[in-house]
Amino acid sequence: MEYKLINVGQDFSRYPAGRYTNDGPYSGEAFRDRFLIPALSDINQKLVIELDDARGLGSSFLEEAFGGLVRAGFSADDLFKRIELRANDKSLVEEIHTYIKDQSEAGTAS
Amino acid sequence: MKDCTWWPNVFTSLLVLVGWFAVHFATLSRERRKERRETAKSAVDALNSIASDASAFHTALTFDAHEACLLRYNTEKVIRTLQRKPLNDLDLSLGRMVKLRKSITLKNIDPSIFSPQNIDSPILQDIRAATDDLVDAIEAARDSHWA
Repeated sequence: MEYKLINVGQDFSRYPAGRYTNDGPYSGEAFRDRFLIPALSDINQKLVIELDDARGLGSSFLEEAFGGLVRAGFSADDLFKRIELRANDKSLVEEIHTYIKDQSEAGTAS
Repeated sequence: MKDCTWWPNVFTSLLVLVGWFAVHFATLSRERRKERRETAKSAVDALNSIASDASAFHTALTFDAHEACLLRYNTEKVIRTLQRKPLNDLDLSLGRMVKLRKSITLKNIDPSIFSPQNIDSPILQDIRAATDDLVDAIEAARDSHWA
């Protein structure tokens, strides 16, 4: 399986912010649609996402980018298998996992 | 017969040296504990300051993009500090840090959804609760680790 590295701070924005595209050009929705979904659409590809170079990552950005992947049709199991998150701040990794899991459970319940 | 009168002097000198080292290391250890306790206090002050800024931001009549940016940045900064030396010795729960960031930067932080909050709104209550929980955890761990 191939690996693709996405460095949020270098490839997208040093200061990503906002949930939706109309909140700004570096929103969670923009990151998901421009980087995550295209990379995950290749089923033979794993993603390594480096978070350390980005500053001020907010929860609304993280929820829309990663929780939004489940809303876009990816299963939580697939995402946990294919996305590797790298960050010195381990709370970011835990928070992203929570959004994927919560959104998956919300989808199952509805 | 050899003159052995110098032996007591050597013994006294050794005793003084050992005593000096004991006091020196005890002082160093106390100073280190004091420095760590001050670092913990700074983290608590930073958390309270962020909670106060967050409260002002969410109750403001209009959205302030600069303040939103600062809130996200300062929240991240304090969370990173809690995971670095010496505060990582306190083994604080990552869940509490996640709860803090979520309480401040998940809802009502973006221009598309911002609306002024009342002082007793769930968003402000969540911020206060997350801050208090983290402050309590820091103070309890500090007292048990660096008493």
